[in-house]
Amino acid sequence: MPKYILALIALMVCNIQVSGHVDKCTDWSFKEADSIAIVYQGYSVQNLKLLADRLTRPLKTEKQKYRAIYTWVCLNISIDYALVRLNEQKRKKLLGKPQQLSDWNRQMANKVFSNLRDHKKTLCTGFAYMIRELCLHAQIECKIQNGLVVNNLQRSTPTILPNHSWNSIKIEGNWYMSDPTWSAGYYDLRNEVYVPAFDDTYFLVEPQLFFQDHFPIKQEEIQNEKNEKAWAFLQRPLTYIGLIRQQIVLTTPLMFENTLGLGEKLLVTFKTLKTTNSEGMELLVNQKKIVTKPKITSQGMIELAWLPKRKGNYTIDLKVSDDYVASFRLKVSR
Amino acid sequence: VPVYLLLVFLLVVTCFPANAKGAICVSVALELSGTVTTDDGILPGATVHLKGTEIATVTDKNGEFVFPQALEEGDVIVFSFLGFKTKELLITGETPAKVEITLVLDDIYIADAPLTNEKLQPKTSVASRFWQKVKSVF
Repeated sequence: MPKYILALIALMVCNIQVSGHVDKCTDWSFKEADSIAIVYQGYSVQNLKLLADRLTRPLKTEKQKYRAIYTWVCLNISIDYALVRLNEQKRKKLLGKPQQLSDWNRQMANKVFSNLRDHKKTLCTGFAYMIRELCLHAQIECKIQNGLVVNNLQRSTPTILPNHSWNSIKIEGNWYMSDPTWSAGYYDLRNEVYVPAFDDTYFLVEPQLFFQDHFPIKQEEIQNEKNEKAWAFLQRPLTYIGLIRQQIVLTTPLMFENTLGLGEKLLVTFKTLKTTNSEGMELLVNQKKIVTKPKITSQGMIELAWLPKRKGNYTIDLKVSDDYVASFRLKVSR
Repeated sequence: VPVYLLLVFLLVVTCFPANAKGAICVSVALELSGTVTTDDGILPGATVHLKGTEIATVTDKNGEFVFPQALEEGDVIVFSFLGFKTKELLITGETPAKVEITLVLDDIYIADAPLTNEKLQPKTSVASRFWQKVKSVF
């Protein structure tokens, strides 16, 4: 039976369940593309042209074709965490040694791509290359971007050497950002294990949203330790996948570390591209819900305000519809 | 319409302009084959495809290929392999039937940051951290 017929049968299934994972399929319009990706689950990566053709031939639009490619990659390629740790350690060791870092990149490249082809395991660079190669064969314009992302692990040893790769995709004349690595799963810090979990939040993201938590660095700027914008990016609040899922554009604060005098009010302002409904928006102070009544400012921004009553060090979390969006520290002094 | 007029018409339509030597050339289908290599040697598994179509092949364990369709002037053959810069070959009247293509590794920067499930924890005082350590011992 032709595989596209199997894809149509798969369309009848409401929730996509693959290898025991319950995956979030948030958009019914991608059911066909996602179903095709599932039909080709486990397909070989030895002939990427053939794979791209199989995934995209039945689909009509660029968006649908890219969806099939993206879903296939996220469901079939997993993070090689041993390689991640090895590269992380080496990168820290070679900080300030550009030639040796370049030699290391070249040496690692062979290992990254052979692991990817033979075992379908890789790190984010491999994910980005796999997406690019499949898009090339599907005639979708796609580029790779390297740059910075911030989590608390990176904050402990600040460096502006790029630590992540993702893709920019041209769909119907518009450029979007896509992060297949972050869509395929996450690293559970407590249990120290990689968890495959497909989440399409980073499928195609507007640049305005995406560049709040991804900072691109051009190839020629990689060794530039004086990149002020990159250093400024590292000082931003810690953000989570909820920032993108809830389509929040954060306006204030824009620093991770903040200070206020006693008697001064903390103002957290943002806008959401998703909805004008301001339900479910709250501030937590040291993990306790403190502010739950947002107001709309005269500029159309959403504002949550808190007046600290005592001096001290506080951790502030912004939550929207049960999603953690951003966190930062606040020091209140006399 | 007389058949001979139709044949003359077809001949005119398929003729190419005169070349530098003054002779009139008729486009010939090219049966392309060859080898794909890198700096490290032969490259098995490289994709060789006709741009804008689904017609393709991959190089065998010796890095060799035979393109499955005859090619014409103006066709573009794309050579690609994961992690390497793509190379294009424009088919002209001078393209040899057997080619050797070398692919070059892309300017790859190896990056690795996975998404984590961390949340920012409130800062604790020195006394609180000491007490937690004592509790964990008992």
